[in-house]
Amino acid sequence: MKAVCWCGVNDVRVERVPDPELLDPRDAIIKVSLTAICGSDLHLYNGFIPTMREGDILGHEFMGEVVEVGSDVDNLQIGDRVVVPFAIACGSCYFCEEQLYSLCDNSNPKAWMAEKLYGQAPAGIFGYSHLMGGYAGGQAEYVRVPFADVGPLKVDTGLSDEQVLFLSDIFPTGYMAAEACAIKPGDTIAVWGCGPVGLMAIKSAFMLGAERVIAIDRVPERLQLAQLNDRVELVHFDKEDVVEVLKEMTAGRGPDACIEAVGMEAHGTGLDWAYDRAKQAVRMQTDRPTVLRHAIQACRKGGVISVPGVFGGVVDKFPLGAAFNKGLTFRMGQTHVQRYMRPLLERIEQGEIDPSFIITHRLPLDDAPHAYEIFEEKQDGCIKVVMQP
Amino acid sequence: MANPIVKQKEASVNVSRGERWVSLAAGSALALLGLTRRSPAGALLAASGGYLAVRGLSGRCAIYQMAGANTDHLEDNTGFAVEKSVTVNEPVEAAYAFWEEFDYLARSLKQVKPSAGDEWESGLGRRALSRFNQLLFGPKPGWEVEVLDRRENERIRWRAHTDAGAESQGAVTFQEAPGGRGTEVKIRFAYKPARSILGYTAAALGNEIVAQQVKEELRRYKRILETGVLPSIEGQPSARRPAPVEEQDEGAEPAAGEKQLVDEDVVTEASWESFPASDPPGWRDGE
Repeated sequence: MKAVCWCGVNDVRVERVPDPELLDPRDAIIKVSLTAICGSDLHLYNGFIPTMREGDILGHEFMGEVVEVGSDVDNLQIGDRVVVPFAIACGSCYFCEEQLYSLCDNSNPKAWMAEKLYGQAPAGIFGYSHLMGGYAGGQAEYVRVPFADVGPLKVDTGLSDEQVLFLSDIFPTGYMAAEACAIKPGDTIAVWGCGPVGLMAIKSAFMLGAERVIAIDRVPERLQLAQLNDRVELVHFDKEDVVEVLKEMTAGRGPDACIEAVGMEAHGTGLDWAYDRAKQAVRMQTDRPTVLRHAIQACRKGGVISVPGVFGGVVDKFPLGAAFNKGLTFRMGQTHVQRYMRPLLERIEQGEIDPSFIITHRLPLDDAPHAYEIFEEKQDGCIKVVMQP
Repeated sequence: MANPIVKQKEASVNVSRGERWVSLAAGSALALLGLTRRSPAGALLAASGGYLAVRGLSGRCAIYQMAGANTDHLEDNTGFAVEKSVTVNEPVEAAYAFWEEFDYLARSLKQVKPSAGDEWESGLGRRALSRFNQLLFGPKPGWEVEVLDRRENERIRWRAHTDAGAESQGAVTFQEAPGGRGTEVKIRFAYKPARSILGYTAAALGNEIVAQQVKEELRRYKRILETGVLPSIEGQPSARRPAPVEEQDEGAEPAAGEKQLVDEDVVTEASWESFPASDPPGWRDGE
């Protein structure tokens, strides 16, 4: 089959690889009908997530048709149309029982590796480095889905692939980030990053009753997309001092919650960003916490910092003093997708949201190298690429 | 009961007989070699050799004492000690019964054998790990296990040895975790490596590797108990070529000059699916 493979930093290729096979009785094989490139795939593309191996198949946002099921998978039939959550969960460990699926104890075959780095190991993730299990991803014609009796969501309504694909990651991710803000009537939510997750977080914050949502970015088409779809207020971080502007917009209080939908490769302006960029470039820190610092500085006392943006290692100059003395609460982590898929599918069915509004590029899988390039460089107005094998 | 004073005296000897002879011989040789060289390095050599020789004569090793090691009297808390535990999301009865059924005791003592799902081993390099275990426990380990006592749903204590003189003694205990969080399963044991200088070196330098192997064994136990499978990525596709095996299909050779990606982790043994059938435990209690 054809698959998008990581062959080195800024080097992805479409390669011929063997078809996947069932390896466990709880596996299923999915024929991929639609897959997407996630912003977090760019961290792999740019080489900021360790333990990638040359030849690994990428992709953790995908859906398709069940073509083979293992003997222990009794809830799926051949021919079912399913959306697959990006994090793999066993469904029976303590964490799965608590619905903390992305913290599953059992799905990461390379748990020992993550334990050395993080103390304990999170769940395995499709196509997201060997630290996260080394599973082959879904930017391919076929993909093997472990614990297929737990994760995949059957979608048999008349909704199109594009409308339901993002249940695999970014819609639940944006939603969980907004939910973590514990939004009360009158709340103002600031969202850093108007990429796909940020846009979903903005939508979700309004769904959950936010009074105001302030979106922060500098890419014109992203700000435009954020504004077109909601009564969102915009802050352009190249032109304005974000922290000061946010405080002014809220009469000195600061936003009640701040969503950091950017992650380890944050951009910014001024000295602290230059410092982060330089330290990361010489590998003295793995992640750039530029946006996180601004969020901490801007957030109202007693507020929430919600972090759907991906971090992988260590950061420097983290203003813990500000966070401590303002009594901030931090909520973060990989999304417990399985918990949100069904209720969010209902919202799509009821017409509350159509997540396909973020798609800017529809390409064949063969064009993956080009797609990664324009997504990384934010060329051609690229916000979200979906690919058909 | 033994006389406490006698016991005290015995306890201060912490080096086994075989090791004492090796220590005495090697130490004397080093000391002589050191004395023939009239240099600071020679003095150091002589001093180290002298220490080894005295250690061999007396059977007392200050370094072992500091490390809590004892190769003479193997009890639960002497020798090279390993302690690892895991929480399984099952009641004590199920955790204990599953352990018995699959004979994890014998399995975890067995020489490590590559099987699908042993991701930790493949990460380290299976050959290196297997080599390490051979140094440590002997070329043909095959542990002889003797159960000292077993209390249902509480603990199993055992003693074991290999042909090469490696010994181990310890227990696996089962205890209810607080707040309905399942069962805490703990392995505690002490071991003496195979009777060779290499065995002792391997143990002194690589006890962490032994501990990690026990930890991985506990992880496998937990995963099979909780999910019925052992999640693995072995056998999944990638753009890496499988590592060359004999009778490589010539048609599969990539064009000259093309970059070749080779998978180094080779699976040569039976798959996990066939466990435990392909992999009979070396020992069964009461049979």
